[in-house]
Amino acid sequence: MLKLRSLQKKKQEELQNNGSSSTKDRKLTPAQIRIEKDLKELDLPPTIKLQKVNDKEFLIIITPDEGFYQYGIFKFQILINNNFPIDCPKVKCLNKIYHPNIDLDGNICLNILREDWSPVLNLNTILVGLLFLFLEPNATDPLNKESANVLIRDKNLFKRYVLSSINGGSIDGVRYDYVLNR
Amino acid sequence: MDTIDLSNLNRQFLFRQSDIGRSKAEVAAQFISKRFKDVKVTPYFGKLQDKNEEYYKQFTLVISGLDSIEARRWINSTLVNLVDAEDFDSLKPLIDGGTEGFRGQTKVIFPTINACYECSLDTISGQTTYPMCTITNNPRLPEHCIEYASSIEWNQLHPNEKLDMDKPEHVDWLYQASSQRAQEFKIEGITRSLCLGVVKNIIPAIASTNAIIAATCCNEAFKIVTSSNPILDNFMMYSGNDSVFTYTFAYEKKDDCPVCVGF
Amino acid sequence: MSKEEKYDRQLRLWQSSGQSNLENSNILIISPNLSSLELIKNLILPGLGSFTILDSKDNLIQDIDLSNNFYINEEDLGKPKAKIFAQNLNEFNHDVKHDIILINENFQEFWNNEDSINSIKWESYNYIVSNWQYPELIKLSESKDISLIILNSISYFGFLRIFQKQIKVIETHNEKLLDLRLLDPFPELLKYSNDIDLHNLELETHSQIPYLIIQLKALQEYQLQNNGLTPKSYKEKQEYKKIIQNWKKSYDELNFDEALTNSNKIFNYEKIPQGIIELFNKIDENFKTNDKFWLLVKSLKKFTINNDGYLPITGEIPDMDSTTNNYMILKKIYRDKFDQDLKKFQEILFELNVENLLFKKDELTTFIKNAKYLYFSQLSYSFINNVSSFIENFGPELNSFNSIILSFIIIENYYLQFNQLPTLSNFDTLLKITLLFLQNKIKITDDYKAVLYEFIRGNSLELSNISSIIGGIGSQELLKLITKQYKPLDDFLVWDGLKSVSERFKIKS
Repeated sequence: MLKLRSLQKKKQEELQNNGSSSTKDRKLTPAQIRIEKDLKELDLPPTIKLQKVNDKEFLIIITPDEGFYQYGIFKFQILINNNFPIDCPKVKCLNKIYHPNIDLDGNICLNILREDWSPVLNLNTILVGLLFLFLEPNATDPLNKESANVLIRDKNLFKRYVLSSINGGSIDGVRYDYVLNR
Repeated sequence: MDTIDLSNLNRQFLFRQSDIGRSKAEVAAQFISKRFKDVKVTPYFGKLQDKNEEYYKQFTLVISGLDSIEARRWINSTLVNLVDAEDFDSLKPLIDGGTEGFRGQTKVIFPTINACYECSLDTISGQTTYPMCTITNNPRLPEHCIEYASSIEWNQLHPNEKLDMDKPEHVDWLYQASSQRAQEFKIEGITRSLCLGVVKNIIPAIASTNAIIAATCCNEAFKIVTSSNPILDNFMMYSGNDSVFTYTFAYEKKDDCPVCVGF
Repeated sequence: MSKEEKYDRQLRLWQSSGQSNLENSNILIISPNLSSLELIKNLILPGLGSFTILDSKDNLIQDIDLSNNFYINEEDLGKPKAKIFAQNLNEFNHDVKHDIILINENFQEFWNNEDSINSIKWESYNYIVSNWQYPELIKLSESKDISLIILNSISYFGFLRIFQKQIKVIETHNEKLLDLRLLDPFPELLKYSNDIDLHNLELETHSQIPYLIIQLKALQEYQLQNNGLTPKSYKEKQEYKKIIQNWKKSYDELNFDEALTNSNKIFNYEKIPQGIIELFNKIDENFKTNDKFWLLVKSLKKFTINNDGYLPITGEIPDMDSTTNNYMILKKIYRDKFDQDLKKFQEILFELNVENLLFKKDELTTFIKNAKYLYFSQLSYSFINNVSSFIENFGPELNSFNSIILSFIIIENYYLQFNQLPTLSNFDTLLKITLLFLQNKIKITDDYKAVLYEFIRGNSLELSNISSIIGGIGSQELLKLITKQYKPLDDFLVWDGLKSVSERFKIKS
């Protein structure tokens, strides 16, 4: 163990020279430490709000200020497990909404939430990605095919359907949640 | 909380068929104690996370052959937190080994001094996943059908129960459900083995690679405690996929590592 | 108990074909040291067929063995090592058969006695494992064509050498088994592509056209604009990409993104890879009508001659963004082409297969799918225990690896001469042997002396860790030879446990 001692001695001298010291909270798991770091680095537009529910759960509120969905207020649940950021957070839409990339159960088709997730991405990427879905819904790889077809064929009709759904209306026999932003 | 499974016997030489179901730690400890009477082995059958700092402080060094990234990160972060600049003995070297098929790696970590496990996290990838819209609307591979059955159909049918691949009836259900979906889309190639592989994220493992990696870990531990020779600095990768290839290199400490920065 | 479940984690590497080769193998281990025991342990656990230990009856378990040998217990003191090893190794897996052969003399006497050598039924073993390069053993391995693995570890160092006339691997497990033929599409693919009117499709359909079709159409477009030429230079490839970019109707069409990201692969195409051309050139010197591998390779060559220089198509396509239906149609087009090529290949093979060797359909399918990455190597049986061979293989100067190799050779010379390992007190003798060996053609360096000293510092004993590493490496290589899958070491390896590094060499004949 001699080498170890000399290594540590060197380190200690370095520390004394730099005058830095440890200020870690010693109770957190690595996933929590990482999420704390992500939270500190958040840089969000006013249209995205984040609320901490507990250590592993966050509530996201998105209020788009332009595009098809600009009058709505949309809530998402983000669950983070102990393997973050190796595992991507689980994101669900808490409202039943009319959207090409979100199904009626709240499942979301967004590349960075699944196949393109990587530990170099962070919480900010996910939140901005979610907002982007409302500004530019993707009609070519849809989860909700019917709404995507409407978006491709008739943008005005799609716009009307979105408004109606936000107001709690029904489309094709499906009633949507009232999510109008007052 | 690991117990001995039939599929462990192809590579774990301390276990016999009659040990199936028993604690790995206890059986291994018993075996070693019987063979090497001078060595004191204390088994602990439980979660890493249930032991506190005092527990980990008693060791000279830690060798880990853990089967999850999560557990590796936990022990790494715990050992980083143990380090007290005023106290030489608080620094516990961590030697980490892992294998996958014919490949493996050994990392020697001196917490706070060189790159810690978390520093190298960006190089690690998790489980393969597929786009939600593909598995829902346009499945093309058998894996897409299995993912649909396991992550969407199951949750619709059993919102309050987790799909558990250690329960034979759940495996049966998954095999049936994904076969049915595959048939619907005329996709071939669903097998029970593939279902298990996809959902449990099974990694191939053989005795040979485990021997190589376990022995390199022990070799480094031996060199550290005896100060007899240069210590690995700090990663060694081994691959037998194409001839024999080894690569030893120093991974750099990351400036913004959330775990070890600031120490 | 199900074998599939017990062996699940390895079947995912070499499937039932590899497992059946393993279960049919019979290995002879000559007077095992720790490295050989580690090697054989790693074959017993995954279910080797059988193993036999050959040892001198006077090689008994002594006190010193208890301190570093995992495979014995106190009560085994004084018993023949072979017997106890076989018994205790067998505990790991009762699927494996075991046997021992005890000889009356020591190995120095054994290899000098033709009657003794002939008393062993060498032919009943597929592989022999030994710690030392006994010249008679190497000759025997060559003349009887039995694969031989030499492995050993002393102090912090390990070495491994493979003797086998030819290594022939069909299943090399290369991950790139695709052969898409976009530069020269076959008629069925071309027809399917031409029937798609890409530019008049609704966005909904347009965004679900598999990227292979987009690439193919863009190539046609490029050729139309460029007198039938294909893009070669970086600039031309950029122009090609621009065509795809301009065809994109909406920013979020993933299939067009895939067509762009995968476009460089199209142009890196070679009809027959260099390795396979070299293999074809070796047919004449190696072909035997009863050798399946060469029969397949000869048929393959003939196939390419009849088939415009192309290998049979692999029939595999990558996953790509598209509807299930579009993907399945495309998959079937490639699959049908594969079936056609397989049929043509079978006809050629039938003609050349004068001895009517039996080929299962699976075997042919596997061969065709891997045809681009077949592996072949010829190994040397030459002795490396003289200075000219040393210089030829490892160079004229003593660097760090050469010093390790030279130390091994010198200790091996000592062992073969005195039938025992040198101790620290033999250092001067070893230096004398080194001087004799080098014949003034290489100068002994201080570094060499230091390495040699490190070797015998612990009286040439094996360290458990190093023997486990080299035994592990040796068993991986032997598993590859046995399963006939993955490319094995070709053919000599040195492990330096001080630095945790390895170096490979190919011994020249």
